[in-house]
Amino acid sequence: MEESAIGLFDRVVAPLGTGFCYTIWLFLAASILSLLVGFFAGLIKNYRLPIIHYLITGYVTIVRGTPFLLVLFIIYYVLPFFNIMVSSFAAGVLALIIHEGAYITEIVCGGIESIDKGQLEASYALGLNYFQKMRYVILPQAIKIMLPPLAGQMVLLIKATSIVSLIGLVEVTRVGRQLAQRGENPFLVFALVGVFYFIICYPVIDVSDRLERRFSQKNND
Amino acid sequence: MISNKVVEVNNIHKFFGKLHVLKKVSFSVYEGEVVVICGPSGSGKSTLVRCINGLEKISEGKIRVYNLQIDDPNTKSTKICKQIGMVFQEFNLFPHMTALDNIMLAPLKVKRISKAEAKDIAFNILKKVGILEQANKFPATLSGGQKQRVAIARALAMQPKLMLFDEPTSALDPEMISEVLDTMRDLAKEGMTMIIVSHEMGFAREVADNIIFFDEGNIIEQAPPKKFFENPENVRTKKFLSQIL
Repeated sequence: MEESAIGLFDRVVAPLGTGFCYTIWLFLAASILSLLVGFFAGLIKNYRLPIIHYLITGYVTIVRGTPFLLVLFIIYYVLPFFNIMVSSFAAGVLALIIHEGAYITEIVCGGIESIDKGQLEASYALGLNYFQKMRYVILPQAIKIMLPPLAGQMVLLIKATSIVSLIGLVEVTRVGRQLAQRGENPFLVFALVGVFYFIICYPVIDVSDRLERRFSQKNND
Repeated sequence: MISNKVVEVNNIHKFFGKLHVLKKVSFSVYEGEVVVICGPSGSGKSTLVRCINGLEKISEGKIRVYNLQIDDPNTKSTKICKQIGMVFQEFNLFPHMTALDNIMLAPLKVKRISKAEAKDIAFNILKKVGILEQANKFPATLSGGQKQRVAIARALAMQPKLMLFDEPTSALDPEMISEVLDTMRDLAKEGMTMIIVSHEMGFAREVADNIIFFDEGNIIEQAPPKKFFENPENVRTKKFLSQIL
């Protein structure tokens, strides 16, 4: 049966576009919040405050050893037993924050620790306090080291948004599955889903590459 | 002319785990004095100067610099570092900042002076150490000697009363050493109080008021250059000098 491009757009592309917007929204909320969580947890872990350091290390170790799906199910299905009701969107975002936050904590902490000890000593010798040392000396150098793994982690986060469809969130992958189940051409549908993911992932990788190049160029000027 | 006591190191000990690095070390430095500390590698010379500005915490004893008790945990590092400048063997310049920004950072953020004033100080010091034309370059594009002169300028920008040098020429190519030593020589002539860990014996003979020979965490001998080089008392000092001269 011949069908018009407009018909295909209405039946396949438009719903996928709506799901894609939901994926972007999920990604933006989870990425901004997980970056904040990971960044502060990484800084605090690096500062080595006695009890908090061990709490953060415990959080990172547990989350890194747990599948994302399990974190998601615990939040969505277990929390209601304690009378904590969360919407599927909130559960999805929270699970992504907990999961990605742990990895970002490690990236931030590793980035700071990779800076040469001499930089810390020079900062001390000049009388800079902890925040000045971090703000002006350590972080500008550490961010360059953190950028590639952070970009990688953001790409993983984008892909992980597809898993939250399992608790009922109608993001782009779930829309694709629904369309395929309704009889649309699965090859076309999932190829389009792939294109949508590429549209978000590629700019993240590209921006990271550009920033990395800009930083290294600045240092070698 | 040598007058007030600036640094007083009194019976200090330093342990790294079980390793006893400094063993009951005592000495004093007077205003305007240049003290060169020499000795074999691993003898504790660098640890000693790092203890003077609190970069290493001492295990026992007392260190006073001007009116600051360095070993007192209540003495703020910011106060210490306003009085004491330090130059490292590996320069430790901030690679993401130009030479000028490296020099301006501490006066701006620690002393909180205006940007115009900090710039003025930085340009004057860069001129003094002979690298004014390198002001806007990043450390990666400077030679070793230039990097070390920027590091000296950075420490001087805080207008310290005492300068510590931890083997400032050890990481330099031979032809770069003289430019750094010239800068230090000029500082000595201006009356800057300096404690220098160095193997540059020619420089020590010419510039030092006192030379301390250090070995295995102890001061073996302390004497003015003439006596140190021509008539050392200790056998260990004689052996060291015969090996390096």
